[in-house]
Amino acid sequence: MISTECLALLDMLPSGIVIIRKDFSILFWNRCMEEWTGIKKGNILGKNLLLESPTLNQPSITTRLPQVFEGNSPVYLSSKFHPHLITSLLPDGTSRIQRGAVLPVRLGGDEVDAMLVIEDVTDLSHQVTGFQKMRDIARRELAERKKAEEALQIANAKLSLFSEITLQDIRNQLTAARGYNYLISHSLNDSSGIQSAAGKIDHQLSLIEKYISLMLDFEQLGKEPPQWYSLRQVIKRAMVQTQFFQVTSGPEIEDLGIYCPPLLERIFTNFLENAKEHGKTVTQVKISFSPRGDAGILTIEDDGVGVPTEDKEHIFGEGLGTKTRLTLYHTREVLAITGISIRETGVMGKGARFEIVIPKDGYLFRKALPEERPKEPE
Amino acid sequence: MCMIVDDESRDAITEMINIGVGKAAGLLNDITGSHIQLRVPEIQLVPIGEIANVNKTVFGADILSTVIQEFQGNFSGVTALVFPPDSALSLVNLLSGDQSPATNMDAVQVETLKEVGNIIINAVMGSISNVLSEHFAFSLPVYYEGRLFSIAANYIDGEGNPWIIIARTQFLIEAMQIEGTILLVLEVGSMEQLMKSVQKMNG
Repeated sequence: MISTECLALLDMLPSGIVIIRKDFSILFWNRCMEEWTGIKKGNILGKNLLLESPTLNQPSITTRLPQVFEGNSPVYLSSKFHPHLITSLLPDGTSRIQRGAVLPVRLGGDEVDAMLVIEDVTDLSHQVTGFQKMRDIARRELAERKKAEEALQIANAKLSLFSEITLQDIRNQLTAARGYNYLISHSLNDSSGIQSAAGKIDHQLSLIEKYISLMLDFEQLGKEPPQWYSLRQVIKRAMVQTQFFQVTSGPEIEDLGIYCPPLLERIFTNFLENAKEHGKTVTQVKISFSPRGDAGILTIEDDGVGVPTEDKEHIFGEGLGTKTRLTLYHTREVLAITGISIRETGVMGKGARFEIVIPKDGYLFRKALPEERPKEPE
Repeated sequence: MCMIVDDESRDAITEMINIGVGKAAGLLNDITGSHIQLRVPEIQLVPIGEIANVNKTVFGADILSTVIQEFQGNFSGVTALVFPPDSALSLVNLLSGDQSPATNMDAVQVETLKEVGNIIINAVMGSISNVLSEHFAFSLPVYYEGRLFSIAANYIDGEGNPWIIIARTQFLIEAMQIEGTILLVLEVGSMEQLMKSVQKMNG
């Protein structure tokens, strides 16, 4: 039973309180409701609540109200399913988020009325949403960091292998240079012989210089974790580096980002240099991208002589290439660090075609500033 | 030890709970817009002290997510909808269309589970109330996380070993099956009252 004093108390509560009869006519409308809706008591008492507030006139609410009027059970209305029980705008123009409960009450007599109690949970909802966003960002960053750490571990293992191979090459050149030096010191008397041996030593020193430069490139692998690269920028820089400008790329390349170890630019430079050197009749290189199933396929193709069928796998072998710059063996190994694979699928006589298969989480489309590192998709 | 209840009474209780659960499924469908099927495959009646023996995996767990509503009437007690926390979170996410990777429920998710519990408990108890022509007054739903025994102990006064009606429920939503349990914890002496009402109805 609710007394007059109690109603006066309800008027002072900071929650919206409405008492309605079984026919949904409004018996009580507290001050908080006046503030939230801008509707004064005098203008709404006696009116049908469901007609006055259409947001309440939903089957998900109305079908549950009879049990309240039967005096049985309260009905709980969460902000997830009913965020706006009554229309109420905040000063910034957004809608107040609410949750509520409808309770059976007796104001006197046997008739059971229903009391709708509405709470403003806007701040709580925003805090929860903010917390969820922060949590999701932290989770994503953690996953990214873990992925980068794992990639860095693989990169370091590959770096050791690459360094070992290159060091062996340096040792070989040093042994040869020592041999020529011995000849100069002990055997050669004529100036032309000395000159020829000195020239060979010079050539070996120049090779050693290139090997060291290659090792310095590899060092980046172990120092920096993989990151997002704008492919458009990578291609542009590789073109300038090789002075090969007959490269066309589709519009899909414009916003494409690839998650890759820090040698991507060198890899593209090599593709263009290889096209120039080995493609013989190459007049242009075409770069395109298309999603396929759970991966993205980046295709680099030229119109040169192509790769003989029997060499398609062999070209990725360890011993092939000039060894003074990144070979296709290195390219395959470096790309594999972030789960990217590469194969040659061209037709001999029509040109070389490299298909680079990038896992779904290793590429994204994002409008990014030239120097900006694209972020992972949200 | 299970209470000796004749088959007819057990069938009647199962039927009443099934009617309520069916009604709750319809309401949840309306609210969420997704197709939800709710089933009660079986009911069991056990003293509260033996509940952990009924299903050690669920009731023996340290933490359970529970929505509770007390009721008062000719017989009294609490009705609870109980889930292992992971299931509660999956259910809320499925019903609200969220894809939260969280492992703990936040305040909004707790609210949502309270409404789901309120719908199911009201429908089940409404069905029992209608069939038996009994009147109950209910409290608002409360969310509680903890061991089942401490949940029940909070709500049961007096001496003795109150009985619990256990109704395992299966929520089938978007090809996913989530199991929850409806518990009717009856105060000492209330089980006898319930059985009397059921037998009276059965004639």
